[in-house]
Amino acid sequence: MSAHDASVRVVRAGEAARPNGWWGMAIFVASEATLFGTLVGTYLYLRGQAHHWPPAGVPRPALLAPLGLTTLLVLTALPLVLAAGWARQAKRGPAWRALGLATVLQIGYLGLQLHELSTQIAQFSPRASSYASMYFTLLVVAHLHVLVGVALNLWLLARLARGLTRYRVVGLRATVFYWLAVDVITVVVVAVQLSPRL
Amino acid sequence: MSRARLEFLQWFGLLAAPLAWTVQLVAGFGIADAACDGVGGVSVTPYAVTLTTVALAVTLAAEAAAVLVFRELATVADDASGPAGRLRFFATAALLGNALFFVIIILSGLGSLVNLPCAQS
Repeated sequence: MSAHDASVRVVRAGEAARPNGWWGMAIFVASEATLFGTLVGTYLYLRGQAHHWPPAGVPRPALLAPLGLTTLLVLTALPLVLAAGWARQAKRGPAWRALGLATVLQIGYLGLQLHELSTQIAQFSPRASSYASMYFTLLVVAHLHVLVGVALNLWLLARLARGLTRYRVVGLRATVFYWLAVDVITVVVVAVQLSPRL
Repeated sequence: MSRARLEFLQWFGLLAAPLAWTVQLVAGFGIADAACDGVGGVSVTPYAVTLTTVALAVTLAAEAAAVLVFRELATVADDASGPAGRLRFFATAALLGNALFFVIIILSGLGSLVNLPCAQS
């Protein structure tokens, strides 16, 4: 037996591990965390340099809508986690319905957030100040991640409607992991967004 | 090669370069900020050169670790399940990622040396 074969045998004798699709999503989430880390860092740096934050004439962010909508988004983690669990148990129907419920709620969240965003852009332009630039950049990038997640859900719903395969279950698990990361990112973004109220 | 050594090399190969870049970026920012504020006559150049050199050395070591794991598990399929599949997958990702981080670290280092540190665009 060669040294290579021995190494392969050693690692194959180990515990059942997560699939590579899940680990690939973990790498992607790490890169997304870096992106948001730099955005939040930039926001805090600019805030530290500013005399007034937000600048004069710009309204302070509202509390109710962002907190309520973020709570809604975080709550969608429950049906998503359930969907992943049911899919692993080969329960296609419950998994599909749970994923569908989460998708409907997430689309509602995105619609309401885009409405809020358009209202705010009418009040102050992203070009008006560094505050406005960072504020809208953070929000738009966060909303784009929700949009990507919704697209993944719709794709999965279409695939799961035709049956469960190992490949699709891995895709669902990776997508649920993505959404959990998006939930955490959204909480951080909202905390930064509302920080002038603190 | 033992499982523990393979695991260590795989995680080192995957994470060492991004961590080295993070340290270079954050520490470099702090040093540039201190230099611009005129704290204790701090000069950016020696710190930037040292940080960049160390980060590049760490990245090369990480690439070597990834090559070792990749070669050790050459017979494992790309989509294999279990720890063997994950080790090979991350080794492959590290081979590419470390090359990218090598370039990123060089560009970050050059940027901190060439750009005027106290001029905000």
